Amino acid sequence: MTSNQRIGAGQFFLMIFLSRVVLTLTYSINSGGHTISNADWFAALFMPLILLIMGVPAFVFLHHSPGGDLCDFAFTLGTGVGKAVSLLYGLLFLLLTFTPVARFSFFVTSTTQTEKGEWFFPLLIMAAVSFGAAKGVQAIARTGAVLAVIGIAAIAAIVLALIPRMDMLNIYNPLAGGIREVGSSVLLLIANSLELSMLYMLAPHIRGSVKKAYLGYCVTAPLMLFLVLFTVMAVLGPYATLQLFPFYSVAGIAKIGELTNLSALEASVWIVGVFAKCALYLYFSYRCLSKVVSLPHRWMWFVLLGSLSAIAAAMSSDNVKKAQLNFSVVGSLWINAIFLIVLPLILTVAGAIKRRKQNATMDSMVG
Amino acid sequence: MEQTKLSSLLIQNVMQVRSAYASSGDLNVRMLSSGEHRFACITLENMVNKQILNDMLLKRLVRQPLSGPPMNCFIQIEEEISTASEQKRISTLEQLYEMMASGFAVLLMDGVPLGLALGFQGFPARGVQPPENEVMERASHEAFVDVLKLNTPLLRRRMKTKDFVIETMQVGRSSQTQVAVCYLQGRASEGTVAKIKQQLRSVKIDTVLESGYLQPFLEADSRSLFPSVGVSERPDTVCAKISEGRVAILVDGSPFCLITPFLFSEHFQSMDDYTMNPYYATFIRLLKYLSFFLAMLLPGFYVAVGEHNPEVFPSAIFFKVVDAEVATPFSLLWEALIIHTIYEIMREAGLRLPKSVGHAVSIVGALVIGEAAVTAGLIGAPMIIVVAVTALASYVIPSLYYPTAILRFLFIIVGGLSGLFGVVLLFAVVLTEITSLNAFGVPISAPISPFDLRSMRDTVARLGWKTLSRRIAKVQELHGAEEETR
Repeated sequence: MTSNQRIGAGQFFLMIFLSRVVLTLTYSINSGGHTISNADWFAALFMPLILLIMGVPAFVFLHHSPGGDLCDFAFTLGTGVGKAVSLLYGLLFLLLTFTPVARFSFFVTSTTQTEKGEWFFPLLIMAAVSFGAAKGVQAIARTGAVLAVIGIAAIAAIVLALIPRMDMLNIYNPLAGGIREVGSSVLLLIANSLELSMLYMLAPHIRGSVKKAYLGYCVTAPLMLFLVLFTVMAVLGPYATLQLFPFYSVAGIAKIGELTNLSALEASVWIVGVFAKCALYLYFSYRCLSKVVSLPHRWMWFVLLGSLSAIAAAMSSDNVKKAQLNFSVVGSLWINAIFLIVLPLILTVAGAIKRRKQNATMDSMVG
Repeated sequence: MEQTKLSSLLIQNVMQVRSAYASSGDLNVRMLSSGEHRFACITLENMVNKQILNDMLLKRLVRQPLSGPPMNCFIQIEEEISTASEQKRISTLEQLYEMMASGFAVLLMDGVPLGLALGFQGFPARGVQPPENEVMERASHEAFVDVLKLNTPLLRRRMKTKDFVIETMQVGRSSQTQVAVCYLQGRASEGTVAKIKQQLRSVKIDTVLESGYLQPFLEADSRSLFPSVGVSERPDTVCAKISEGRVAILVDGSPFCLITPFLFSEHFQSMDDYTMNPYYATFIRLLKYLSFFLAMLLPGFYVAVGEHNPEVFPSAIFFKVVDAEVATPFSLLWEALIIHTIYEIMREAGLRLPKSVGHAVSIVGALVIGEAAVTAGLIGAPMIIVVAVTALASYVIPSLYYPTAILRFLFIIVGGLSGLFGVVLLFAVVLTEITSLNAFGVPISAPISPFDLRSMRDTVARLGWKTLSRRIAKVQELHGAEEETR
């Protein structure tokens, strides 16, 4: 690893924070059949603990593979294993690249720019994202850090502007819908926490304490989620369930001075978040897939993967039914379980067994 | 390159010089005798001060007949007769040509295979004058000139420490331009200095007539819109940068000095910031950042909002804009493109025209754009305001004018086609482009990203001298700078 790929722990924290918070802004009534309610902000209070637990397999893995990312580690177990794992994760990151683009495209074409075809925004966004990804992880992390600060300030401004609009009568007992409703909210929050995958790929590039950065994320991201969800419910109340994109709607009635509509600000935070997040995932996809197949030039990867993502995003956002797939909770939960917990644990155990065998062979040779 | 030794036969040397300069009319060969010895004094027309040459060498040589072995006489001239403060022995024809082209007079003697280059330069040169492009209120009124030898004292006078190093080298196959690499030993990174020298030596270029010829060879990415090499015509600015561990490159023939590594935030700094009250300096910095964003984003933002996101306008402004635009035949996108193209044409014409005609351009511009276009209903009045504000803002940071001008058009097109989302997306792309640049291992986006709190005291805000002087700011110590640069 060369020093020009190193990023700071603070940048890593801001990247995962932005990535996670943006998902909350994209909250839709299409979110896998889940309906927004008071149980959602209540569920956000459990998130720090859930995120900490979800991080355990990652830190166990990182403890056993110092110096390389997940794919590098898989290659130490054998070329075949390495290629298979790289292919799987490469495809996962491609999926994670085009899903937010598809969501955004669906959002724009169903709200502000309904006259635009389903291809316009995926192509535009993926062109920008491919450019960003080609610049490398360092540039993405530096940009992401700046965008995260701007994003936090913008969300804070919207939330502050909405305080006079809040009606506490809209906030009622979060357990009124039963434990099942809270459970559904928790599952949705877990399903949307795929940022952990960044840890597997970025940890070797990070200068500074990864643990502190992740701990910071576990505390601050749920706090932001709580603020956003609480604000939506306090302002819109039961009307939130009728809005296609509740936070976008709520930003539309926020007022700061002469500005009487902050929905464009919310959408701007959304798109910069999509840019930073997708550029990073596209870069990871390139890192993984380039270990399986080689192309004559590095830039070809970004053109190829960018084009594939744009096509996939356009094809999966041209109608509500397909768009619902992008918000699928069950699908995301399975991805979480397989790629963030099961596979890394299998690799860690396989690595430990291989190391033990090697040590035993060495001992017998010495003996 | 193969070197031709000077012969001990004077006539042969003179013949060779004459044949080398056969097509040039500015070669002067003055043959003279002193005692039993014959000499040739070779100069290029107007490159030498003839009065000084006569007084300090030729008269003395003729009046004091020399006798004895030629080599002894040569040494006598070198040590006793010549009073030139700068003189150098030469032994090859190539050295002779180089010294002549640098304004030296070369004395050749029969029987000695050596020459004596004497520094009697007298070529016409512009004297030190006030800066034209970086005008300051209170800072020094001296600017670099075109001659390297006049520029180095401007730095040395301000940087009296013995650690201040000026290394010279030649670049350009034909021009053999003198280039000076200036830095503070112990403050500048040795690795960076070595890399810069290596890059300058490896420049394969025939002629170097201006520092801009070398700039692309020092840039982090020569294809990037944003420079990672700074340019200044002010010796005080260059000294300030050198004291922070940067390296300055002066090029003979150019009044502009290159500075590297150069951070993006330095475009918003000026010498006056440090002579003013820190509160006012901070206020001016904030204005500069605001101006940069206005110059780059305002037209694109206006087009995007007007075409696709009118909900962003407060209602009072929205109705005014609609009123103005409903009567014009073009869409906002085309209006913006047309008006900005006209503005760029006028600016270019204003720059190249003689000053006396420049006023005419301003009048035509004001009449055509300001009055006629609005009266004829071709362009809406708000668009004129947008252009005016953008034009004014773009002059606040002259060093960023070129990237800003290009990006402005891109933002207009993207804004017109995709609305505010496209503008925001392009802004993220521009940000990525800036953050991807590392000038000799130093990220040019520092200290903003990677964030460095200690250095923020002289970035967006400018704290007082008592705070700033507590620590010497070194560019290699910024967060994110590669370890090998330290």
